Amino acid sequence: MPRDSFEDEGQKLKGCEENLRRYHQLALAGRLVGASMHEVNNRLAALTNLIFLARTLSDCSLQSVEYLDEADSQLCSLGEITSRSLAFIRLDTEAKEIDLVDLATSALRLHHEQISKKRINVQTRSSESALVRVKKGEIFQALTNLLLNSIEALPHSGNLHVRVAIRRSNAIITIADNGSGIPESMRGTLFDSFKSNKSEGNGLGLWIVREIVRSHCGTIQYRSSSVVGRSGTIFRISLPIQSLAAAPSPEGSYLVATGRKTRTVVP
Amino acid sequence: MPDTNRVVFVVDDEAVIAQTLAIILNQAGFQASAFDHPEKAIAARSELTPALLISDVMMPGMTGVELAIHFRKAQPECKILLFSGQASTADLLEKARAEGYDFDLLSKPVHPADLLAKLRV
Repeated sequence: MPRDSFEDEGQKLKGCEENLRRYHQLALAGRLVGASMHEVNNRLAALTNLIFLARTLSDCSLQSVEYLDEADSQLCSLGEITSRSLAFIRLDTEAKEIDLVDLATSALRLHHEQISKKRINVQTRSSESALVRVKKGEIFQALTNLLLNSIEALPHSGNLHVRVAIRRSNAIITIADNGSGIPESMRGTLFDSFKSNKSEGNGLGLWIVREIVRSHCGTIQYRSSSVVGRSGTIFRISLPIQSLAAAPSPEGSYLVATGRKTRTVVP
Repeated sequence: MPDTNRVVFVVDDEAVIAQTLAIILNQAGFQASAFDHPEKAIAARSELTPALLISDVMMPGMTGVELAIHFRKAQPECKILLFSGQASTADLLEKARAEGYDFDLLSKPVHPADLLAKLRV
């Protein structure tokens, strides 16, 4: 066997093991966080209502109103964080065959409030169905994060295109908007954690998307322009149709499909 | 029967959420009642006819989707709004859609101002 291809295989294996390790970390974090997200959202809902009520009290001083307004804004910000950070990673211990077209439709439905508020024009162009073996909750989270970013970046009556297609052995998800585009200064560190250009962002959204995509052995790319009149951003996720070939168990060994070979990896 | 039915049922197994939301709605001119269990809302329907049901989805015993289907069958003209703080809701809604039921869903936390604006439309 030529020396090059041997080193190549070795590197590929290293890459997959690294992916597996990251996936492990993410899954563990997800399981812990997912279990408590419902609780957190409930506390947030209660707090939001209570602050709203306090603010409407007629004997509320001007200063109190100011403080409560700020408290309200802090809560909104917290709500943003919870909805983008692992909110949907649940007890996804198994990859299952799911239809990405259905999933994208569900994700759009979940955000239809914000979409109609801004009168965003949504266009979808997808195959009848796109069956892939993935962790549904995680992919849903990735879609949600990208959709939320687009919705935020879009002006009133902006355009949002969502497309799901199968190309050979990959499913391609495209989310495009004609918003203001990603500023040049952001592009180098776009996927880094905790770097955000949004005043209320925590910068985890795209990092999480990338981690999820990577743990499915997929790729994510984007193109963006801030040129006035032609501005916008396109994100493109590519996921192998059989990205996670077998269900992992909490302890024990895993079968990881790497191209056409399978290897057993013992954690 | 009043001309405009302002009766609202608010259902959430978290009593604080159901109660504060009911107070907010009442302050806005509705006649809202809070229930911390779906069965209580079903029982109350024999005495009050709600124009609107607002319910959390994930509740022990009966889910908000099951409650919504019950109301949709028993009282088709009642509007229904479901809340959820979890993604597993999407699955439940898909199942409901497969049975021909389409419910409005808002994700928690919903700001009261946004909810009131939505109800005024």
